[in-house]
Amino acid sequence: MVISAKNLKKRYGQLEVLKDISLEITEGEVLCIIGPSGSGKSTLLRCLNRLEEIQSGSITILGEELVNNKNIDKLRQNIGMVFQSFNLFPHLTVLENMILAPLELKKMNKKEATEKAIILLDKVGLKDKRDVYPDTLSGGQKQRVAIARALEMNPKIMLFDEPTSALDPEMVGEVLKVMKDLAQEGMTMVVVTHEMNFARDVSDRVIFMDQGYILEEGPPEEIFTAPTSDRCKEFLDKVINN
Amino acid sequence: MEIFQLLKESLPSLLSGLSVTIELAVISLILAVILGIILGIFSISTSKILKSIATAYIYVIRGTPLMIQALFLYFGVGQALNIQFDPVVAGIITLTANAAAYMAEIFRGGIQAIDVGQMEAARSLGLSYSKAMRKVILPQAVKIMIPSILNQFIVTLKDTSILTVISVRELTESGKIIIARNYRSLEMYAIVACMYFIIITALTLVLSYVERRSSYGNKR
Repeated sequence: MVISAKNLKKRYGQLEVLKDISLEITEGEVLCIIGPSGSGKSTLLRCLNRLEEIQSGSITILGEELVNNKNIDKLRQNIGMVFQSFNLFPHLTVLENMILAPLELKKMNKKEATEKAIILLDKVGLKDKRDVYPDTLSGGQKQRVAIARALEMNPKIMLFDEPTSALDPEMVGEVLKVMKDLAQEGMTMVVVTHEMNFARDVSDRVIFMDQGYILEEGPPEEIFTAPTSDRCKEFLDKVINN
Repeated sequence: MEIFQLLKESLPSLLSGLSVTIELAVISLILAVILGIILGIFSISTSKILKSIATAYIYVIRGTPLMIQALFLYFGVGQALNIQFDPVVAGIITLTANAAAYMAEIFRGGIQAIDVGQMEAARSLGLSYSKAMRKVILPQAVKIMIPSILNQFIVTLKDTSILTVISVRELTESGKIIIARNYRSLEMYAIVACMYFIIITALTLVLSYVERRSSYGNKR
């Protein structure tokens, strides 16, 4: 197991957002988490690299305990994260965004980091953008840089938090393509998404969440063709027949 | 031209007052930036105690006039501790304490103006809190802070004139001393005002140049 979470509970004040969630992910697996807004899916994802604290339960990532881990920075280097709002560093160029962490953490020297960054930028189709500042890029380009920046650290797991939700419709495809390529290369991926086609075509397993619970879990063909819970049926009807 | 005669006679004394004014402003501002950074860090820290210290300090300083702060320290504290402060030292302490509260608010505001996603992205790459702060948050926050910091420089420079109430021999005090001798209030205060105006305008021009240079537009 690359990720193993047991009995997670998470509250914001009185509001319970995760109610007893357990989850296991194997190496190379692509897991999509779907569900309505407020179902707790983004919170669950953010718990997996400790951007959110949990009240009870345990999480093991790559064989290491996460919740009380003193070496969280070290562990996080293995977990790439892509955010809905990109979160590129606006005061740094694309290349500087990518090589900041590996240089600061002494994972590579400048030459190695730059070479790797150029290869990754080429892969996401943005080789010519290495010296520009993020605010000259379109949303789709920003998100591709953000993915490349996360990959620069050589992560073993990639977490995607609604990576296409802030994009104009015509830019969604270019980001999904990068993610699809990554999945085909065997990256372990956890993707919170509203892109049902991506979930159906790319993922190995789909989780449907509602009100802090996992209501359905299974291979995409099963979830999308024969969901067992009424809540999931209703949700899929709404999002797919729209 | 009588005014030139007056200017000629009073200039040496006014210039020495001006140099005290500049000295007060420069020393106080350097100390205020340091103290302001410390207080600013306190006010964004997760420790409730540090936060309360910073908040209380900022409230007290912002909620009382600078003139009262100067009088309280120079006469009040001086009497209570039975020490005779050097007016310049008391002036520097007062100005530093005062400007630091405003600086702290500028630092806190600048750091909090940066989207939390920046910190999250930096931490998710494996950077520690302090590295993320230094490499990602502060470079962006400082750019937001610069105009307010520069504005505080000008405010503090002008505030030095209030220290005349504790007889610091700065520019205003020097003017008053001359007036006590020659009773030429109109001309003398006009001269003093002109001297402030020239210094502050010069500073404003320098600062707006610095501000333009430091904005990141010029890198593109």
